[in-house]
Amino acid sequence: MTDDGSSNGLARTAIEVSNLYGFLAAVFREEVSDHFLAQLRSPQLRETLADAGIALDEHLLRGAEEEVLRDLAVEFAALFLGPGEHISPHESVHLPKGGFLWGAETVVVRKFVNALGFNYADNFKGLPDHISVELEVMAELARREGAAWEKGDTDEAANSLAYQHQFVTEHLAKWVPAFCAKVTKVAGLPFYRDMVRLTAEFLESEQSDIERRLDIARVA
Amino acid sequence: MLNRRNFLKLGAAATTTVAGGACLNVQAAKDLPEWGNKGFSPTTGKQRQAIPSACWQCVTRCANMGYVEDGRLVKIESNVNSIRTEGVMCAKGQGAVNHTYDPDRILYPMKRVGERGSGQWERISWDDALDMIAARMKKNRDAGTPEKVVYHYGRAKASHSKTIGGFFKAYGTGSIGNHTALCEGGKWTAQELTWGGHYDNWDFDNTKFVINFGSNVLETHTNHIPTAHRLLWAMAEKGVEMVTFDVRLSNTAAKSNEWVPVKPGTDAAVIAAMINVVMSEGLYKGDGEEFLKYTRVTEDVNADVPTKIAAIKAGVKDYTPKWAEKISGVPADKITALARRFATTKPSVLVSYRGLVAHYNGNEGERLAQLLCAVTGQMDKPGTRMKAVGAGWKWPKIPAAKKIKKLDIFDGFPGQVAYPTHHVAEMVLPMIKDGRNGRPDMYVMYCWTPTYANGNVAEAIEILKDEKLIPFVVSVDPFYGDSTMFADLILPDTPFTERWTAEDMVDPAQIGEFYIRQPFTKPLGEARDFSDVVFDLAKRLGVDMGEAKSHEDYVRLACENTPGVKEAGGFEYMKKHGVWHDKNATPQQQVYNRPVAESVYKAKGVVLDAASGVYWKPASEADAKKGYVATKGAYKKYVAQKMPHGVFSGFAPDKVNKSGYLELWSPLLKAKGFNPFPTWMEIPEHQKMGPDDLVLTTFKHATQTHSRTMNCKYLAEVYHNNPAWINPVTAKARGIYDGDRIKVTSAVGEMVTKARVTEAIIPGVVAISHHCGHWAYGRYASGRRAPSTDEERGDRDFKLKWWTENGVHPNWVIPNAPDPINGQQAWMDTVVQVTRV
Repeated sequence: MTDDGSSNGLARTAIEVSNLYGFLAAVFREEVSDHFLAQLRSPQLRETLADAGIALDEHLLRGAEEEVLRDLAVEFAALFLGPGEHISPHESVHLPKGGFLWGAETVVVRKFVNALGFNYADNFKGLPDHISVELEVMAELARREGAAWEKGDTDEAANSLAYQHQFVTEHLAKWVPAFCAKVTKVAGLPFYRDMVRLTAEFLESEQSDIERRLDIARVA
Repeated sequence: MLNRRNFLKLGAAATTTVAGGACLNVQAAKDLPEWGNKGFSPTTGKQRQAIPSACWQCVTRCANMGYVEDGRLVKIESNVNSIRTEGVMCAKGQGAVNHTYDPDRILYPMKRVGERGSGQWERISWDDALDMIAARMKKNRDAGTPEKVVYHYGRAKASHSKTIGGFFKAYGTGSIGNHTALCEGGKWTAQELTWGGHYDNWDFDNTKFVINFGSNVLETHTNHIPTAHRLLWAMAEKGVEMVTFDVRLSNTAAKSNEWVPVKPGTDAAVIAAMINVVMSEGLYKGDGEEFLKYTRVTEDVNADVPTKIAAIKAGVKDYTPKWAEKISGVPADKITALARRFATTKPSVLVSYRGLVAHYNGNEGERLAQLLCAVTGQMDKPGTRMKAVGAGWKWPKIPAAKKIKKLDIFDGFPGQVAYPTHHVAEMVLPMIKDGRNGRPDMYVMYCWTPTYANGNVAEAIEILKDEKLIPFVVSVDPFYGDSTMFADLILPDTPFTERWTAEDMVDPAQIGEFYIRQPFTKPLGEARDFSDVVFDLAKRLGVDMGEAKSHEDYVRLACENTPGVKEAGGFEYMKKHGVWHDKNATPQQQVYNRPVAESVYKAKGVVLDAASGVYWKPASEADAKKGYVATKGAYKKYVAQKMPHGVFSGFAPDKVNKSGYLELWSPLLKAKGFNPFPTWMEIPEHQKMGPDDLVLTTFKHATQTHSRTMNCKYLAEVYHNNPAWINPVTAKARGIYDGDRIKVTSAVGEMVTKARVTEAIIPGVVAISHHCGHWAYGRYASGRRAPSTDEERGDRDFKLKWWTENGVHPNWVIPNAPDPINGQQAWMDTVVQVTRV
């Protein structure tokens, strides 16, 4: 547990959860940008990453920016884009009965996103069940949860949490741990190995915390 | 594993990095839609209209959600906001989607034109149909014989019971029959005789051990999903263990940690022996002793606990585990071990149903179960069997006629049943045939199929067909069926998917859930809900139905008048959400030990009845003199119970004049010649069995209700045939092999079916399920199309029906045999002979 169960505490938790989902969505969405690298190198983020057990390597922290960005971009392509053998960051590829892009689960994810009233951004060219889409869904739901706790609207908090619970259970939890395990095995640079460890462990911890927050919201 | 707090610090630090997602435009959604119960068409992706309502497939009546697309009901799910079901629904509930478009629905009032039962009909108008009924009702009212108008229902609950039953009472007839004795009436009466309320709840949410005597709780309980899903949750998530006694390896027994095979009708002996173990080993000490303060086990209502313990020890001294082993076949060591386990695992819950109570000795079986719970203190507190809690609607009043007359045909033959508090449904037709207490002039069947639901089917058909015995039969039924075929007039009822009701079934959360049923779609054809039709009949007859103008209006008034529901938003709230419960309520428990203030039991008009220790408010001096137990309806005047250690709310009576103790020494039973203390009773037929005789027992399957679901095509596809279960040892002795045709013969008839040779049933027994063997109900159920229905009515699936066998109906060989104390039909006692054909 990371808060005292009060509305303020729950609001803070939800907002932090939202931000972390957003951070991870950015990690997997595209290659690390110069802006993102600057953030990673900032003392604040570097220290909190260290507290979370992730010590960014010397090359990433102090290497020449252009070289670091290129190395990370090459790694990103090798891991998530191809060409050739790679680990596709799409849900339908990793499910036991899936194994291909644009599977049945892709449609389910798209319908879920649309049912929430969200749209895919015009400039988004990826497939609807990309890991960053799913992490962004969670980020937005947690953000709305946080806003609801701040307003003292427990029904709305419960509503958002019910969606989080459903989406994690029916989607992320079903494939992301396996995806992360595959990345860990083949990653060349420490950065993505660290990021998938963070992703897997955060998701696992969040699964039970969503239930805790949902119980509080429903009883209130 | 990383520390969660540190993750979240990262979340706090990462704000600037992540502002604005690039994949999604989330601003498009101002508010999130309400979570849950959304349905989408798999082909068009279009969102379906979701209508909260309530199921009516079985008596559990779960809150549900119907999905309507382009005006057509396409799917039924659970209502995720129900605290009873917590969003779980069974196959039966989902299969109900077939009712609305059942190709054998009756869509117009139909009048018989050929001989009764010949299947020749002509369509008539509603006006003509209601004129016919009203004319008969008027004739009987004018003749001073309103009681000859008999209304017999199989299921009418909550607001349906109030409006339809209210109409007939307002007209002046009390000749109202039900079907409870065919179902669970025995359990109810036994509970009324002991702790007052008729229904118990098993608190699986809080229990640590479950011992089950003959309840198929995971498949077919009368509060099925609300209890079953909690039990599964307890078993799967908390490791709660369950031991099930049954003659058959039911799916409940199979899912239990242990199945204890037991001979039919002998569970009561096992329970008696468990009490013997508890008493002889001192396992009653502590919680049991405390609970015995509130329990009556002696004639003396002022007995102290040591005296009560001595009385119980004396009462069960002969019921040793060895004795019970000889009767039940359950090893004595097993009985002893389970008695110890039940008594010392706290809290434990004792579950019981028809395997225990649908026998000649069922009343005593249930009383023994209550005694076992009492001596171990495993009663009416969290984790045990508790008095049930339902929703308490404030119903609009329908004033009854000043004088109500009634045919005395609902409680069995004189002297046949001691306390038929829920009537003796199986004896109604035999009573009509006998005629000594009069016969109906008009017999209105509502959701009632007497030829199929009662025992001795041949006799039931003979009686229902005989115009001399019953001159005019009206059937109110959405579907043509095994009894409706013998009607003179059919009123096309709506299936429940097209009805309004305010509902109230028991809530295992012990809080009480208010919920409504509302139509998913408009009635097809000219079908009308009978609870609306009675308002029209009332107008024709000048009968006052009170404030409501229709059944929808009645439900609206109930929503607007009931505290809690009213403040939540009344009818509009209920139409939108379907369910409501008080979020601030705490689960109800242990009311019996609440002290009662002196100002209450010494109030004006309240007197103490010394014999029972009951404070009550007699209506007259004469009643006070007669005493509490002997005064008719005195239980309605109960105030409190005097006990040696104070005056308490006690286990308040309902239906019978019991004391406020958990009454296990019953002056009521003594007065009728039964042992007042719970007692093992032999089943007379079983005592006379020859070496080749078997006992026929019955059971239900998870995907069917008793009589009303077999024409739901989805459900019929799953279960439509019911070969007789027989043990390999029993089969071999008769030269029977799996799949052989066999003849089952009893005192009332014979039938031919197929054998299913299996070790999942004990030797000496043959088991045949209900549900199957319909002869007129629908093309999926019986293979017969209802007369006067169109060709396929657009039901393209009929071409896909791959099964040709529709099973058999065991009631052809089961006699009507009421428990002598409560009238429960003894479904599990029939002695039969089985031979290979």
